[in-house]
Amino acid sequence: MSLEDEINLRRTGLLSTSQLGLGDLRTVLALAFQMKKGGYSLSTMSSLLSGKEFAMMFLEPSTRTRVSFEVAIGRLGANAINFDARSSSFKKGETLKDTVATIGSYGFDGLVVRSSSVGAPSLINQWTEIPVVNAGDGAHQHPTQAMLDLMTLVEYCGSLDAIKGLRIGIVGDVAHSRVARSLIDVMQKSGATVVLVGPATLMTGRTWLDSVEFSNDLDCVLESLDVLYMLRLQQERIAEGLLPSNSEYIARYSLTRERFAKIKDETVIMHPGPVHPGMEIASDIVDSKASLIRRQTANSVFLRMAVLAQLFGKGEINVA
Amino acid sequence: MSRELSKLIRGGLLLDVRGYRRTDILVDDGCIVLLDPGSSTDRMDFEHLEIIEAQGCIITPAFVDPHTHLRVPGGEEAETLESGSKAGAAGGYCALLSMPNTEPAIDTPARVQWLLQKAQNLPIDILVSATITKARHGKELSPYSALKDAGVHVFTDDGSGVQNPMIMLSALKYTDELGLLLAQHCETESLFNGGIMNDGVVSDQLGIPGIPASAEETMVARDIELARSVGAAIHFLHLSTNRSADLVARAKSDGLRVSAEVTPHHLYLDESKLCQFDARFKVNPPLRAREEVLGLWKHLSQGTFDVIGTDHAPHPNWKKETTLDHGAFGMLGLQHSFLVLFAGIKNAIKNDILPIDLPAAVTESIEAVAEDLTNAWTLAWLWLIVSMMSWRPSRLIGYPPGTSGLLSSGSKATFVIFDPNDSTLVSTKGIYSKANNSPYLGETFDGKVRDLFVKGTQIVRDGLIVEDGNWC
Repeated sequence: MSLEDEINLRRTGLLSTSQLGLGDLRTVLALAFQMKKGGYSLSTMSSLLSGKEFAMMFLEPSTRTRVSFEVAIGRLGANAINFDARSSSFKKGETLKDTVATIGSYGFDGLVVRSSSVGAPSLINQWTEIPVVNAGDGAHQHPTQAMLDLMTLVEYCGSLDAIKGLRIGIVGDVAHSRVARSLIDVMQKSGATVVLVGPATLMTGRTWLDSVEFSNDLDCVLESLDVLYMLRLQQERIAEGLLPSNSEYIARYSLTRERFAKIKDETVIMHPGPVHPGMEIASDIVDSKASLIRRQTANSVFLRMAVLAQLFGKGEINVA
Repeated sequence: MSRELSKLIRGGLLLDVRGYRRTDILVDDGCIVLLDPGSSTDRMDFEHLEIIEAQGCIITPAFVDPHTHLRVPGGEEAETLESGSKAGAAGGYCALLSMPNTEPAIDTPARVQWLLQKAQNLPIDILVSATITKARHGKELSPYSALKDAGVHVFTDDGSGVQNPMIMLSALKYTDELGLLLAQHCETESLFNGGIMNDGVVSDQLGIPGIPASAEETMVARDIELARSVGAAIHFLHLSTNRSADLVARAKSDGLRVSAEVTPHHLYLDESKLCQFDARFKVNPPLRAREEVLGLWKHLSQGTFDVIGTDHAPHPNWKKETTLDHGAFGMLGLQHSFLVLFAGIKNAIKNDILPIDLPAAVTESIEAVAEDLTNAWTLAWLWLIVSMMSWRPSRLIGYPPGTSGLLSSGSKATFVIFDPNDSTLVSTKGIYSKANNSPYLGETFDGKVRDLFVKGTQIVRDGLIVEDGNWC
């Protein structure tokens, strides 16, 4: 990371994976692995962000991401203060900008923002001049999810360099997925080949993504994939007229037992959670040997600790 | 009130419906007298004459906006008649056609009369349009003949399109019979489907719900066929895609009475402006891709469009200082429209898009005054743009005082002095609209709408509103 980029990241926070180069990913992952294997004593860890305060602005419901950020912040010795959108004056008609100005005036060191509005983290950063970690905005970006997915895959493969050349299939509702947009970027930067699989009504990228493969037939590409990343399917898509029915989706894009039987021995299964058992993926596959889904969850705290330490720490951490 | 001093405007280049000529202009008693440059000034009584130097400036008939959201009644937080007409005057407009999508909507003669009366003393003219359907609900026809008697010529549900084709067909038949103009906002709502910006590369990259071009084009195609079926005239507002313009060009070549409007912002801004999530650029129809912008210029050069309307649609700052999904559709456009188009002209010429089929007399007059080829093309473009901002919209919307586009001795002294050699910085301080969230904030444009005269009275001086006018 150049000095300029680093200063920039410390000013804006992590808004999008597009801010990160392969070097940045390598640095954060090394730190996350170090933390995971106990490379730092508890007291060292809890001094990294001691005295700092973070506001958790979750303007859209989330349990997993919010809790994992809270745990990460706590372990680094900082405080996380919850801003509950449902009970705040935001719901009483106060504009987002006013709400944010109020939060901004309390002197937080950082904000963790989740919103259904694309661009909210970026705007909140502009309005408050406080660095923001994007915990998911609309269908735009979910950078820490993609980074923890990369961490999980690196852990499985042994090194970041081993990702190069892997074929990773991202399956399902690509168009409405913030995870997909971050993941495509992170995987491409790591040298993987991305294959997007889904029906035309849920697809994106044909006009703007370079060197990505597209397929609307999972069975055709199934056996060529090293990673099957199954996206969550929202039930609204049927009411919106984008899909005929659940069974039609399952027939074409679900990782059923029949399809699971056909994948290569070394192929792994991932999912950003929460899983709809029987929908994107047959329920017993979630805990199969090929599944990295539980590891993704376990790594989420370490990855988020590493991101926070890197962005808000005093810079004295040595990464081995 | 004492009679105003006569004024002599010296050294300018006059642009009117006939073309260009170098002339001095004497403004006296509300009318103009054209004088050969420098010829007769020595005979004049300079003590009773104010001299206005206009070397290097272009003097054109004042502009008429066929598409202004003045927000009155109900939206006074965004704009008032005073603030909107000041913004219009500062942009060179002598008349604005106010849109009826107010709260309540303008759909009764009483509301028309109320608005006309409220606006009657303003230094510029406010014309009133009314809805196609009652309350813009798309279900029942507005009382067209009663509204016509109240002074309405243009009918539109602008802000939304008439979805039901049967209602649209009836409206076409009824208004055509009465000699009125039906102006459609083309948007098939089911395709629009909660979209926020143009459906394309940028919306895909950012994961923002897109508004497909087909949402506009399907309604343009439908309404052309409806108009064809009954032989009625139809006007399309703010077309934003090449394919829409293609459909209009084809309908015109079929001999249908179709006319179309394009906006300055669709001719200048593109979808990439949304990359920073700035809701000032959220507008409906949305800003399209760069290729579409150039395509619209091509259609402009070929005569597909009839008028340029600003679709000035102000919103209070709090409706724009928010996320894209919560922000309101619509942007400021009145005050800087001509500058935006002047900038667009340069870009069009750079891309070899040049106006064709100008009247022979206009071309000849350009050859007589142009300094070089680029200047000649600039003048050709300026003539076309001014025609679409002045006498053509004036005719279209049935605005009698400005119909001719002629500035000759005896004409009403209603004109703009534009200085192409000056520049204009768009800043919040200089904006006359009540809201100051212009999409052009911070931009410095070449050129300046320096002065505006309406019936002999100077309304704008050196880019600033003359504040002693009656603006309330």
